[in-house]
Amino acid sequence: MSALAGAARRRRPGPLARREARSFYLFVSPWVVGFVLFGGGPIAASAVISLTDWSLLSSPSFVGLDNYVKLVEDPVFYTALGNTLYFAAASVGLGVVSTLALALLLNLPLRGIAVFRTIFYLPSVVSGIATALLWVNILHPDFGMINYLLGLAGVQGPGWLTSEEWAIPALVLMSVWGAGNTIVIYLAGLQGIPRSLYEAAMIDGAGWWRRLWHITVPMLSPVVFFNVVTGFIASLQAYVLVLVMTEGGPANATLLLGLYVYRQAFEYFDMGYAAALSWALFAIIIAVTLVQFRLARRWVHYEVA
Amino acid sequence: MDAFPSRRAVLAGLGALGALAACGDGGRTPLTAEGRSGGGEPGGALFPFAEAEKLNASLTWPASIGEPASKVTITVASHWEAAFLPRQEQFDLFFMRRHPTIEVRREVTPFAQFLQKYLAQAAGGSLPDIMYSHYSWVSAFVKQGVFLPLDDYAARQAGFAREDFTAPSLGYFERDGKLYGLPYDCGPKMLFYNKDLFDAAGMAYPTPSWTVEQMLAAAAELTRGKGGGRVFGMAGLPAPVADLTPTYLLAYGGRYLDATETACLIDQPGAVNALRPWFDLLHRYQAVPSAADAEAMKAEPFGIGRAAMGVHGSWTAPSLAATAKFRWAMTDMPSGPEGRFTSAVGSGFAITAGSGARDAAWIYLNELTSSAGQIFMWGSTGRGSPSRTSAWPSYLRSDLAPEGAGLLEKALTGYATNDGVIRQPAGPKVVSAATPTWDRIASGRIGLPEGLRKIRADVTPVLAENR
Amino acid sequence: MVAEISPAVAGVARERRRPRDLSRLPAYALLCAGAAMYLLPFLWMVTTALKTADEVLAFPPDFLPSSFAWHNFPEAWTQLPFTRFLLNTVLVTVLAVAGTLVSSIVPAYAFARLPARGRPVLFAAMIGTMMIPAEITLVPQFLLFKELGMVNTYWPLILPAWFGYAYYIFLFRQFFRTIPQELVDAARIDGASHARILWSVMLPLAKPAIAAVTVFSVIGNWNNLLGPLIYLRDQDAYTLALGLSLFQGEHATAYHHMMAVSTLTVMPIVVLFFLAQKAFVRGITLTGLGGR
Repeated sequence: MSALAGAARRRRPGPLARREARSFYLFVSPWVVGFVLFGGGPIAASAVISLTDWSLLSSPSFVGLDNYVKLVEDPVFYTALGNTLYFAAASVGLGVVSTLALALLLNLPLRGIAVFRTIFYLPSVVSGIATALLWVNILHPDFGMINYLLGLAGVQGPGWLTSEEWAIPALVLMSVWGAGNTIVIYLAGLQGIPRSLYEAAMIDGAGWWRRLWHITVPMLSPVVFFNVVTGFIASLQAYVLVLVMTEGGPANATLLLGLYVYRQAFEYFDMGYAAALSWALFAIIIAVTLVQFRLARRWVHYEVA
Repeated sequence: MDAFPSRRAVLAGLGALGALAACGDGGRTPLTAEGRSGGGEPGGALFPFAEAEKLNASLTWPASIGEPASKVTITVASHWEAAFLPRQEQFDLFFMRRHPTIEVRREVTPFAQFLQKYLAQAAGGSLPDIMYSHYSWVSAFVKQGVFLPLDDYAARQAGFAREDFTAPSLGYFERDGKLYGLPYDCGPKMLFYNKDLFDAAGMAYPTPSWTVEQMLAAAAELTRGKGGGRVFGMAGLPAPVADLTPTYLLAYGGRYLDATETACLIDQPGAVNALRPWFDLLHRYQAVPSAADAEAMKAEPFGIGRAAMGVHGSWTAPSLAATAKFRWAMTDMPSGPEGRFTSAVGSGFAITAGSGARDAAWIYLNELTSSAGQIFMWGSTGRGSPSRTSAWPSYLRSDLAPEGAGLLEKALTGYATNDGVIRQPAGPKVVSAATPTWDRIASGRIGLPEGLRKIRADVTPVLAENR
Repeated sequence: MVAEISPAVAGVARERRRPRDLSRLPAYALLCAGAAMYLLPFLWMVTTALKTADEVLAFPPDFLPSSFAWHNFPEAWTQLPFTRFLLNTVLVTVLAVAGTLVSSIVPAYAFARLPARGRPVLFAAMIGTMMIPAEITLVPQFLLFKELGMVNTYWPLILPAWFGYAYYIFLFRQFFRTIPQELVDAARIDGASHARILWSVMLPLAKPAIAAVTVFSVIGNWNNLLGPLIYLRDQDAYTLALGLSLFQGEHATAYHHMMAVSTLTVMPIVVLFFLAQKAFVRGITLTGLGGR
């Protein structure tokens, strides 16, 4: 687990280090207290629940590892796992790049840019139901806007949400479009890049692309890293989107693990199995995140070690 | 660095907020019906208070099994949508006037989130005294001992008249010979038709003498147009949900599950014969909306005038009456080779076993589901489908009952049944196990007999927990 | 010396770009094309709010209503005590957001800048808390607040916010780590305490991040359905999100009413965002020192 902490620690001996450490524990104490009070307990409880058969309606009964055995043998789990990894990889991959491009666009010192920024954030503010209804119509195979535009280009558009192959790409499109928070985080990050760096580079005759690649991206890398890590965590857990849009269909093509957990817990009266699924999901997320922190050493640039 | 100006203001603000937080438990005060909306009388444009008061006074309310000696508070959880809620609040208010020692605290939760909320409350031992229950949840709750058996109360209650409840309605709340709740509504699925579309096609309206074959042939014939303007003969296909058996399969002698819900029979000849013409309707005639169409329409295709016929529950009538821009009516479900069948489903309320105010809860539950209560809540408001036979006339006589509504009551006392409606705890899993393959049959990726065999294979392991 | 708020420099930068007006055309074209896509849900919501109950259901849908049903707004707003819900939501949101900011910034500074032996483990644990699906901790957490006697109060919605959220701590930590070490060292030499450094050096420089977290946190609390759903029982204590969900019935949804109230309640958030986004640009201009 400690590898998660990423970059190497600075070791300074003596009283200063002790004072720093004391300050660390003081400053970090709100979170530690909260973790003890509200966070850790429920998490530990969920681990215990995963060893029980519990409908929530009466007392749980201990069943050992039964739920995990069931999980290993459950074909639906593997379907959901595959869908979830596909959805997460596609939406994070596409999302990180496209939102960065949008953030760069929205960072230009143009007149009226404030209005544009607000407009691009609207999808993150508007009710999920309005958004869902809108997208169902945009993605309609016969008269939806996307297939209309594809038709103009001479391409016969797919069935999107009703097609087993295209339903996840459609959801990826939706989630990328609604990633206003990621844009905002990039925008905030862009403000922290010293202008002097660009000025120096311009004096050296560096073009737009080189300035982007050699200044913006490295300077922004801690923020990119944040968006990648949290984006993966969120999309590996996503379920509200599919609950509203597809209910896991067609033919389980959009059954994400998060939705499967929700159903086990609150539709099938099987909280024990839901908890076991969650811990499996946790293991997957931790593996993905560990890899990301490992890789981060190669490309994330921090001002402080 | 002074450009970070509001630091002092921030500190002052935080202090003030801390003080606010200390008294931020505004949700703790119990609220009565009188207390809501700032002491105003519940009602509004849909349910004028004066009329409600008059109706309430004109009804004969059941005798009480004995009023609580001291003040008792009961919590009642239901799911009503915003528009109907005032009617429930009126009921609660009048109830409290009749029973001054009982205070009703109402909890209202959206239907879609109801189960999630109350499963959490169940885990925390904080269930309300009375709670709504969908017919499909009852067995899971009863199996875990959450609902209180009501037989003793029913025996003590003067004028309870158990036989007044329509036969399909009570079945969902009975288990091992005991009664675990009282239904408030129960309605059959019927054949609804759009008169305008039949007239435009120059075709005669459906009649109670129709067979399933006639219905499906008419659906194919009524289908016309293209793209966004297409009119479908039928609003939708059967789905592998709880009421599939009585609504679609029994007429051909087929069943989804056996009577004990421990074996899947959907690939047997009866079920296959019942389903084949429906999938033909989709694949050969495109006479039902495609999955994409169904998804994009926010309401049932029938309700928005895009389908000439639809198989819908009686509870669809109120919203049709409110929004349909065409003339419509309903008629009996058509008959099949094995006779005429339809499903009848409904919901009810139960008293929770942990309730500390059981007597008061019974008084409330009994009044709500009494003839008078059902007239007040469902008969007079156009929501219809009351679970008591004696409450039906109030609905049928009102202006709000649609054409053909009289057939509903006849169906309920005749061919409508709860036989084959899935209601054992594995129900939701059965539906989830069957749906993916069903989707594939609909999209033509797998043939019908083969698909149904696969569904049987997928559903069978799930049924183990019903044994 | 090392960092200064320098509107003058920003102004100069703006000045310098003026002669290249034509080069902005492609940017505007891109922005306008994108804006059309991004405006749609908002317009959809507003036009749905102005339709009648039956027009909402037209299929294929008409974008514009045949006539504007302005009466939907008062009708929907008074169908439930939405004014009360609004006040409840404001109370919960303000208290939770204030707590979130304070309790996320302080630990984030520690994780970013204060070395200690326990730091890696605590940081890993913190990131770990984000990875357990909230659906599964929901019930244990409910049991906890039940034990504390806090069900049917706002405490479960507010209290956890005062003890830091992993997501925001992580976000702030990333921002604090981009701030040049020279600034911190300079302040240390001047004898500033860590509290002082956080307050005087870090916070002014992290203004864009503070603005971002404020916006996220406001929206998160404003739209939170699950928390109020599970913890609140009396209708008068309900929040806007919970009230909005009551327009959905078992068999039908009053979309026109739902969108009318949505439109009204989303406006303050849009305004807030419009105001906050200035902080994303009017942040700071770092001069004098390059990063490494």
